[in-house]
Amino acid sequence: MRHAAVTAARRLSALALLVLPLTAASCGADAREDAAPLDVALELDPSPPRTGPVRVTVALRSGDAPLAGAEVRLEGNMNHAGMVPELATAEETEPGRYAADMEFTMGGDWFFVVTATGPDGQTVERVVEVPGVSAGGGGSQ
Amino acid sequence: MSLAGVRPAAEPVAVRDRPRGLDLLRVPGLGPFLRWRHARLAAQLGMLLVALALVLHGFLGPQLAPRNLATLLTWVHYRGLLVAVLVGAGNVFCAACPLLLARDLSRRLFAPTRRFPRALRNKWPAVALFVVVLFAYEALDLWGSPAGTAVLILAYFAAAFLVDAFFTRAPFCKYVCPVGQFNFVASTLSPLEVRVRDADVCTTCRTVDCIRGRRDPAEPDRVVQRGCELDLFLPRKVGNLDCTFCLDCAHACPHDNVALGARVPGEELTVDPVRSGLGRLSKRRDVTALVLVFAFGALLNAFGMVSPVYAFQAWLADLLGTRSETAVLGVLFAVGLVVEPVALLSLTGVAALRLAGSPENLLRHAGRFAFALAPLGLGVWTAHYAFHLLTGLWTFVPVLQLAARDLGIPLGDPAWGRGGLSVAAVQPIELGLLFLGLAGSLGVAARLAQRDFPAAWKRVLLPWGALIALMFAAAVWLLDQPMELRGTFLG
Repeated sequence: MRHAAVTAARRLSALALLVLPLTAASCGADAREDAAPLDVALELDPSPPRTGPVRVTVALRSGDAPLAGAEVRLEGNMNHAGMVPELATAEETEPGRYAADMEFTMGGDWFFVVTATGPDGQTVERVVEVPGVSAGGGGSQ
Repeated sequence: MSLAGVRPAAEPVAVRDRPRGLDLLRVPGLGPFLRWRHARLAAQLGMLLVALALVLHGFLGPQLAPRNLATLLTWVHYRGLLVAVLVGAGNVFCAACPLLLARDLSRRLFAPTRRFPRALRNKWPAVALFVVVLFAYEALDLWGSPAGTAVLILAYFAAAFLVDAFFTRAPFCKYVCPVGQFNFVASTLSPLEVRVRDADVCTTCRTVDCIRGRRDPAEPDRVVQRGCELDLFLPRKVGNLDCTFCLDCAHACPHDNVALGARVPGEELTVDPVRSGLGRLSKRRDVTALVLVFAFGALLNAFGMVSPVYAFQAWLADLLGTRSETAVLGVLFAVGLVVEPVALLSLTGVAALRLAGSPENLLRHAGRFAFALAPLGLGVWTAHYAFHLLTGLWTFVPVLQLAARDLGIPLGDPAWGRGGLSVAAVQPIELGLLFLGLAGSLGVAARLAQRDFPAAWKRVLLPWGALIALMFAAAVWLLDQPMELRGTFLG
């Protein structure tokens, strides 16, 4: 349902944009997203995820090789507004694998923004969705 | 009441006399600003700029809800501030509503002459739209969709523009706008009210500019200052229902006889006089339905955000043999907003009438006492929205910084660690707000019982108090549940 809703919203947005006599190219989506050939994979422990502490491991691959020596920052957030994001810098545990201890503070749909700066100084940002974190406790509304 | 019913007082108008007290229109500093003819326009322009920023960022900014001003300011800050101002002051957000700028524009372009269709001059269209908005919020996951939120904002502007392009007076505010209806019901619990300052002045008034508008002496057909377009004739106005705090009446009154004064919140729910623009509430099934959607919708909206709802929806889907989330949500809404209120009010009403030994019609009785649920409803809405506002109070700072950075405006790097109060700190506040709602509802129910059943009021109060206590317990239970917000619930 959500995908259909998002698609519908995008179509409506496109329609609305046609009638909006405004151009604001500078406030487009995050400018640092690019099409660099970097593969980002996320592993969570525990899995399936639930509220509480979580070990987040990011596997970076450039082409067929692990990307070692990168600086990896993580932002965990929910898909609704108003939450304080979980921020962490991941430590490299083995070449191309970076891990951080974080926390799911509330149940629901989460996403991680993975920002990786490679040894060559190039920065890549990826959004990885983590839907359906079950509420094991905490975060009452 | 219709405008045609207002006579330049050949007969004196019957004014509800009230004690004079605090009048914000006469408070130094604030009073002159509120009485400034362009104060409302200034507030509306400010809100229009905010709305424009939300729409632009909703469409063009990051499509991640926590990083977008449209989703953040609309669903966290606007809603929280809206209920806070309603509880603390009055219907100020209607007064500053930027949608009316769209209305004014459409009037200039189309100069409408027709009245809103008589069959629709009631709250039923707004009740239906109120439910539609609550349903769309859940079904379309608007809380997680910046573009969807921007579309919703534009839809409001388009609706205001179109409705008032065709019809005179203010039908969008009075009969259509779901947010306005929410504000009208909530403002019955507000501590401020627009009212007559000195009743004696109105009894001798022959121009009734407060509703007809002030005319140009040289051109009597030309209105230079409009009066109340929601058909609230001030001397006969009771309470805040349908009042947008626009102060058109104050600007139009040639006797400077309008006050923005303090009053007892909720008292208007305990009386049933003929109200200007509304009639007797006891005869308005549509207004009763609006109050019920307000009260039960508060519980349903909060239920949609806690963990147990997903297990319930999965169970419901299995029971119905469907994988359609829309269908499951539809059943949930039908149960929560129709079946449950009707069943609970019927049972409570039957019990109350039996205990009182009264032969009164059940529908009439339950319709009157339904208004006692408004304070608890407001308590639930306020507790819910206060949670989001207070726990996410400062989250707009990094999002604003991010938006500024994208525009090339240096406001520093986004400070993502900014939040608000902790959940543990907010929960007592939520509980306090629920208790206020409980006390308000019990108080209104007691006053209604004393008024209608003086000899048996305690017996009548028993079942109504039990219903209110049951809804309060449900709200406290919801408050204690782990929050969980998902875009999909059937996998």
